[in-house]
Amino acid sequence: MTRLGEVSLFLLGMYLSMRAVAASYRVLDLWYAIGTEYPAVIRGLLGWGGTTVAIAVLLGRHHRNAFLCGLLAFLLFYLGIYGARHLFLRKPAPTA
Amino acid sequence: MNGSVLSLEEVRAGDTASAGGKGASLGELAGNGFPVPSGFVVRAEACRAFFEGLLLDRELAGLEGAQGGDLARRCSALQQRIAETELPGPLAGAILEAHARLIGGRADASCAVRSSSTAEDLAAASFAGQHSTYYYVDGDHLLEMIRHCWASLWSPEAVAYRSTHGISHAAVFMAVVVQEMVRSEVSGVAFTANPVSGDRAEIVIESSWGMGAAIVDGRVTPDRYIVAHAGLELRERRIAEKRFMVPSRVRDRRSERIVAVPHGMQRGETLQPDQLRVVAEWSLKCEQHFGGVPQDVEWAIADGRFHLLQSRPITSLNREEIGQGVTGKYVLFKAIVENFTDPLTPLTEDLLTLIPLPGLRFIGGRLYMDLELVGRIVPLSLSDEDLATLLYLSGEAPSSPLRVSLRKLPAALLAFLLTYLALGVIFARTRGMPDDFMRSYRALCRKVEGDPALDPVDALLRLFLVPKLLDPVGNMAILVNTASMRFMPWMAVLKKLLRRWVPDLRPDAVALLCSGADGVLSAEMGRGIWTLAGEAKRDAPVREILVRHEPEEALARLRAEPAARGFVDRLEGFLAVHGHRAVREFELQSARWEENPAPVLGMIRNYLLVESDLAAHEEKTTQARLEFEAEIRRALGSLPFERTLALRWRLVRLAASRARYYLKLRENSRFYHIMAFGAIRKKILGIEAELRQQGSLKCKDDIFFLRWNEIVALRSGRLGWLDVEGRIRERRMEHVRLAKLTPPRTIGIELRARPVAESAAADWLEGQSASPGRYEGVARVILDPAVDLTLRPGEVLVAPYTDPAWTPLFLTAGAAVVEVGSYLSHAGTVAREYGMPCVVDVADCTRRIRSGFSVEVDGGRGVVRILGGGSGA
Repeated sequence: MTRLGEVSLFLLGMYLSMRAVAASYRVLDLWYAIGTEYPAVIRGLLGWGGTTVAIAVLLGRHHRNAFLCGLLAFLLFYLGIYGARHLFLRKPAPTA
Repeated sequence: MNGSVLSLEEVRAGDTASAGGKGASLGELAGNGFPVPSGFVVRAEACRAFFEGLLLDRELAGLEGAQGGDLARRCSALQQRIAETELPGPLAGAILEAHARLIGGRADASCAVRSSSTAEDLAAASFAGQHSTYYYVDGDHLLEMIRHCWASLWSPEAVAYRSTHGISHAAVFMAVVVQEMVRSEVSGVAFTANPVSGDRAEIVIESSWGMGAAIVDGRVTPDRYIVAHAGLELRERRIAEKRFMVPSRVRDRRSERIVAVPHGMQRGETLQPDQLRVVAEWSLKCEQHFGGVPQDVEWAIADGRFHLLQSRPITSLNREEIGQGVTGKYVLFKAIVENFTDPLTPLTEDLLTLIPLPGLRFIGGRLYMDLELVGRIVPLSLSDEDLATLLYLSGEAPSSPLRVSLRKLPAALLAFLLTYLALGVIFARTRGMPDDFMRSYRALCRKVEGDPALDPVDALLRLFLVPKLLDPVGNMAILVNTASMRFMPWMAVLKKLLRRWVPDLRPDAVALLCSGADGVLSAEMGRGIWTLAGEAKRDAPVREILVRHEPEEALARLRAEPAARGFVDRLEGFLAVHGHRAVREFELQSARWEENPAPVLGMIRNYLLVESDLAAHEEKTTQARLEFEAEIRRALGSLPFERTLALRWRLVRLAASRARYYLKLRENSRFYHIMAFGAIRKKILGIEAELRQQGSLKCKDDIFFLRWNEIVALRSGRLGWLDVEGRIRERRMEHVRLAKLTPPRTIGIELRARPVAESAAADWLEGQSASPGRYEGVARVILDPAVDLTLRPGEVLVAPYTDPAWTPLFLTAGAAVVEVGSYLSHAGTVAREYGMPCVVDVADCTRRIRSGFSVEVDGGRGVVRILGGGSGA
């Protein structure tokens, strides 16, 4: 496995992680209309979740690590920016 | 008089060192027969002696080099010492004696106590508003207010200003002018040269009811008259809606400093022709007296008599100040410039910048893009001038072909990757959503609004900046708005495809294909107003009230009229959906339609005068789009395999539908995130009511001229009215000053000049094409749709900017000419939807074109020609 291949699998893992997270969120996003929108929600979950699992399973043991690292890296990045968002806010200056 | 106190008549222009700039000027006028209210001056020498007695050397030395919070603390301590130390007995006696002579035993007389700094005459220094002035001062509080005037020399702003301009703190003292207050019925300011255009042949007079402080501080939009120097002929008259006034007397010290103007007077003209002439004549006399230097004159009319309150040179004449002293290169962020055409108030700016805006910076209240920072991540080999031209969205091609810069590519890719990782989930979640997916945002706004534990900053964070991890995407209006920017690449793809396959299409082909999405909420708003107008048309009593009365009065009458009950209910239904909208809706100070529905009624009244049918108009536009799509299919049909596979058409349709979806998302997400501004405004108004009740604030809307930390300090009692009064006044004056300046397109760099083929002609105005078509009609200049509500059917709308609150005006206009904006701005988007010509980015159009001028608008070429009525230049 070349370094380029590993990087590609890592990036693919990140991308699919992102899409799977987004597909999971669709349950919340469309909950208000779940009675009519459930096919789209299920399609998304099965599509992106299924693709992610299928790729992870189909990849050989040596190739799987880079892909799983990509999946995990995005999850950590995503949760990290949520946790750290307060750090980006400016604090109002003190008053005399 | 005593050596420390001089009567105004004893002072002359050369006495600045003793009487300060204002005292010397007023003394000069009083001594030469100008109608200046009687008064006296507490000389600067008295201030010097008082300060020497306080032994301030150590405190003054501590100010050197102090900054930020440290400077503020030191200034506060210094000011407190000055304000709390009694004046020496002889000085206090002399002042009280002069005061007793001035008021002559009249119990109801009160005085204005005005700072007059000895530094006011120093070259290049303008202390306007930094030093305090107090009105309604009686004998019991006179000495205290004089001490407060002296203390204002040591406000952090004044100290910082002197430090920046190299003025020694130890060399500056302050005289104080004490004058009897004029019980003004009408007052205002007069400029003996147009302060905006610099035209010295014009006198600009602004007037309003009550005291002039309301105009100087920007609390009201005054009536505005332009009079010719020669012969004093009236050139222009604009009567504003004056909803508030500063009364010339108050019941007690806790009273409100601003009161509502009675309905009948709000749109009434403040100056009769003979009074206007008197104001103009005295203003010109001031100019002549001061050697022909154009003057900024403050005046008042009481009991039919003219009073001169101040005359000073116009400092801003011919001086472009926005961006002066700013290092770096900046270009106006035109993509959203229409939202920031007026400078933001300090509170709005303070709250909006709680989250840093990378690459963006407010300069003079306007949003600019940092060219150097953006230049580092745009992977193109471009000169700064070309990059500025590109970012300014002027529509002009760069001077050299675009080439990818390999040097910048890694940084650009990294920036792209990080942005994609940060926003990728939001991008995916906003794809293909139903029209109503953001409905939950309204409920969230109401919940936040009704939660007393959340202050405006908490509300802003919850609604705008920091959504919760498990929020549905509908609760993230601003992120949805960011995600909607994907319309741009889709439009670019569409443009490229069409240019490649059907190169001879009309110039607005992309715009036409991308228009016409259903479910655009701002278009629904226009339809809603149209529907209300249709009902009013059918209902004779309602129509009668709307047509005959000004909107505010019409609303009161409609509410009192039983036959109008149904209409009022439907109006309230409309406001329940769209009432969070306003003109300049990014500004928290702007009243929302639900607070004051007068603009909606004004637009309904406009529609009542129009005979055309909105449905037929929309049908026509849809038909034109369908015909155009058929034309494209026909043209594509001649290409290989297209008739059998229609692959090209599918691609064109895909790009157009994606662009249309994201454009709709952009409009609709704005509809919702503006709701957050409404909720935050309500919280601020709640705090304002609380502070006014406890006497910490005296005037409506003053809260918007404070920063959040100052509001917190006022609520906790760490600051009081006297601490913030000067700051508010200074910021109001600065806000008015900035609002009168046209923001430069670039700072620190010159934008490439446009070709000057026809623009050399005085009657040609050049801009940018936003919607094609030609139209000839009568111009109507509308500066504020809340004030100028009348746009007759077919008139050409000439406006400084437009935002969604202006949309309904477009339905009655024949064409639009807008001072700022780009192809992507609201004016262009709506004009294309309605199929009317529109030219944007027409510099100075609201000044060069005047209402009544006959103009020709060529939307395709982006030019406007003044056909009649003079150039107005």
